[in-house]
Amino acid sequence: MVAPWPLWRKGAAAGGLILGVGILVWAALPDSEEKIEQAVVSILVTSQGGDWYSPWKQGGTVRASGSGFVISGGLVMTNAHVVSDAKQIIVHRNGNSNPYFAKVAFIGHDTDLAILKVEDESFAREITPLDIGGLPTLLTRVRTYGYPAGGEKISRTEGVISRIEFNAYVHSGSDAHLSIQTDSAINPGNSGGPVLQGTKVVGVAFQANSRLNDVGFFIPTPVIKRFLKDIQDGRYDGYGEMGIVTSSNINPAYREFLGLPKDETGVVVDRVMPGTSGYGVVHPDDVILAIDGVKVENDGTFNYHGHSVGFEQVAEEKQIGEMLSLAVWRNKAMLDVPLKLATYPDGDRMANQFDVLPRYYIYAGLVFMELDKEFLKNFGNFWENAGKSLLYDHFFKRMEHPEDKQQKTVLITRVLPHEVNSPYMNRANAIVDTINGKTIEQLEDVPEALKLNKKEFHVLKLGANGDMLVLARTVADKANGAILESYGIRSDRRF
Amino acid sequence: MKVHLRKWMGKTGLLLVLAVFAAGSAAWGEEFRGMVSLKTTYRQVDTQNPWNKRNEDTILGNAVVAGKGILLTTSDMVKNAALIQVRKFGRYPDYKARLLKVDYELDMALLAVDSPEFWKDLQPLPLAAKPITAGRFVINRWRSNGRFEQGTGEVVDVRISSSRYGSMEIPALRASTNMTGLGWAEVLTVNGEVVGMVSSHNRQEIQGNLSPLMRLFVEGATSGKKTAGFAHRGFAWQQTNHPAITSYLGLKPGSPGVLVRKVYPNGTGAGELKVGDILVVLGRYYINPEGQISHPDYGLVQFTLAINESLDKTIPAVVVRDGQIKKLELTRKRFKEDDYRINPYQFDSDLDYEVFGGLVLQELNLEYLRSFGDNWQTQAPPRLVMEFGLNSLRETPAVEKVLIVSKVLPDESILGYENSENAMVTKMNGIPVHSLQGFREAIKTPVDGYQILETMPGQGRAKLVFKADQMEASNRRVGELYDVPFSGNQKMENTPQETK
Repeated sequence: MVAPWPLWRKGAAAGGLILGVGILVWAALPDSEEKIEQAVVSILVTSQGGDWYSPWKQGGTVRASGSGFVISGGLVMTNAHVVSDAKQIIVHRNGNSNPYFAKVAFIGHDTDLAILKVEDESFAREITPLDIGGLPTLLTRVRTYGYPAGGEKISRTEGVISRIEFNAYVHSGSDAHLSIQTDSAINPGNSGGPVLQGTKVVGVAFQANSRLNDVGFFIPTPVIKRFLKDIQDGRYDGYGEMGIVTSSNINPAYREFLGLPKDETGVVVDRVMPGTSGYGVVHPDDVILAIDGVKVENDGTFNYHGHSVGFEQVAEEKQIGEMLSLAVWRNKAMLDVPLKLATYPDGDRMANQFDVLPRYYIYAGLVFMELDKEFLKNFGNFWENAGKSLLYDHFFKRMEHPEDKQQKTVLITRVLPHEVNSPYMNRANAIVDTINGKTIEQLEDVPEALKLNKKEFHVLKLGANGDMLVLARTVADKANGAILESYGIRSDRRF
Repeated sequence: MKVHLRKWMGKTGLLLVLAVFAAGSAAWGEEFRGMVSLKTTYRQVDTQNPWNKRNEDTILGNAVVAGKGILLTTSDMVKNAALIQVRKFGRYPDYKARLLKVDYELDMALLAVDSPEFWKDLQPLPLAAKPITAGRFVINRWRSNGRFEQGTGEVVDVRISSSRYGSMEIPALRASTNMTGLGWAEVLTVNGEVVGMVSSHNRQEIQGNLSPLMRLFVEGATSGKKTAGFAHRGFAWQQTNHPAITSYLGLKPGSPGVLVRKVYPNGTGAGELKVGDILVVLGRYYINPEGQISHPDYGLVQFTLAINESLDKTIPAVVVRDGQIKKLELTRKRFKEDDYRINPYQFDSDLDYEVFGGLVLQELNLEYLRSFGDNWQTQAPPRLVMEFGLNSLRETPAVEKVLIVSKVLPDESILGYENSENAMVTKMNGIPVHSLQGFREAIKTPVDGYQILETMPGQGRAKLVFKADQMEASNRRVGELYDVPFSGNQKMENTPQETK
């Protein structure tokens, strides 16, 4: 057993400061298992999210635990899903019952990573921060540290890396990034804990797959390093979205149709999602031959540190606003296409929402909200009970009709019973097409369309069938306050 | 005859005990003399492999003697039938029955039996002229062991609902019972009169047809008179029961009528009603703002019942149009097959399909979706389920079906296209294509030597390209390898005939 080293002192002597973030870089590394384990913390979180059924309320509180580890500057890295919607975060050091209160400093729901800052500055004084290493190779051994099942004692498991590939990140439910599969046990409570090779962190444990036996996944260092780079300006911006959907380029007839030389490789562009960086820049039937000078294979992969990985990884390592250079085969000729990475606002609609409360507006007992994934969860985990028109609108409409500029869909999600709306109870979950002739494209349009109308009636057209909902304006105006009061709703809106 | 029956009843162990229990509102009688057991051997189309039919299977059910030489049963009992046999009194022999008429939207079928011997000792059961809307009734059925069984049920309600196959709105009986294993055209009687027939059974609830509609179906099929037949509603409507909407539409409070919201290209009222009309009267009935009529037999019921109260060519209607009262004679029309983009009853005939370079193409139909299992609504490809739920009915005059790649049979010509199963086809060679007919026309004009098929975004790859001059060889390879005739109907030009 090695005696605890006065790590804060050693680190302070050798460390530097990364400007803009205030992260101290510690050169000293833990040189023993005991020091590694000291850097691994348990995290106890009380969270409370929004209620997408009764959006004026907050949901119930939930207590859960996860893991994390100390990185440079005494900050704690963990998974975003460990600290999402957190009301209170308590960090425990290994073998130390003293609770340390922490706050979320940065959170990236798309990468399922978060950085915590512990309020008590003495927290990390005796801890040697863990350093982030490189991308491990297949079939090498890794060790996973954490506090599975909320145990107080640290757990360490070992396993082998069995796969490195793009994978869905289930926390956001709409993102895919590089991930690494291992048979080192990763269980609930392990989330946010480090995965190490030697003394270096090679990943953050984050998810498992119930359909696979004895397999867990961790977030690899390219994703972690990109996250750390992103927050250097004091804000997490997330990923740019190329929006390019591709298919393999192995069909001889298709290759001949495109006039692609036999020795040329690349991946065929099927479509480009409207609103993304690639829209209008890259076109269907383009063949992406190379990205930033890296040759793309016919199945869309390229050689990434000896691994065959999707070409998107090149864009993944860039920040929003940075340029990509695509070598594209178009109209039987090669050309260079520059592409500037930008955010994809419509992506939020498709993702799980955290740390935000639902937007809503209530008038005459009609609850208006925007259609998003969180709202659809009211109908079951797989939205199995949602109406087909809602599911079509959410998942397919914009894809099939890119010419439709409408970015958001507004619904009447509930009708709070009152005599002013009593025959309209069955209009819940109806899509609002127009109000008083104004096309409704976002939630803010609803109060505006109602406010501007000075006629005797408000006329709402619902859904594709033109179902009509009519309210007597003055009667509805008068009833509005009483309805809010009787249902205990403090505000008629949140947006 | 009485003695004979007693003997027979003794042999078959007729459930006399049940008859004692039932001696309340639903009297027992000699219903067995007007009912026969029915055995149908059927071969269902295999929508997953449309060149095949599934192995034959047999179902057992019931039919009622509905008139001289006429048996009435449900359409479910005769769909895809290869052989229909009937048996009386639970004893051999079996007699071959002929299908006279089947209506899947009504879920009814009429059968004839040519053998005079069969009809001996059978007596028609009268079909009640008025619907049962409350109370108890007797459920009659023949069991597979030759026994005749009776139980009871009680009406829950009668409501207008869309038919099981298709979209015709008809009154349907909903009732409760403790009997099990129903759903095979069991006959419902009260005092020896037929009041309905079971079409489906789920736990302790049955749904069934009602006798007035059964009478109309039999009369329509047997009277020899030319009728317009049963008809669909050709418009969408909404209630006017909210004071604000009443006032907005310029109606007095409590005024009768519903708002016509949409008019379809076909069906009753198509081309005659206009969007914005207030439909006040249909048939003999005023329509209240909730969309109900006060019917002498059904009580308060949805007004669309009136569409199929007779089989006349027209039905009178009164609308308020632009503030003026207008009398109309609405033509009663039935949706034709082409009015459905997605065929709701793909029975009794071979499936049309096309094999194209390893792609199997067919027009989407309900049976294809149902082939994904009992939970097809969640198990079938979601986009296709949505198309059925949202756009099953054609709403523009242009003929549109939904053409899908239902299967991919691996071949070198479709290398890289394997994930195209269940994609909806949008174009062929640049021409919008939504049917097999359109597809067959479009492949006659390849583009610069290529056959180019495009699919709906988000369903596999967007475009599939084939060399036109290699299609013949490709189709031959696929046909030989998978033992598949390449076309379910029309033979393609420039390609060989069946490969077998």
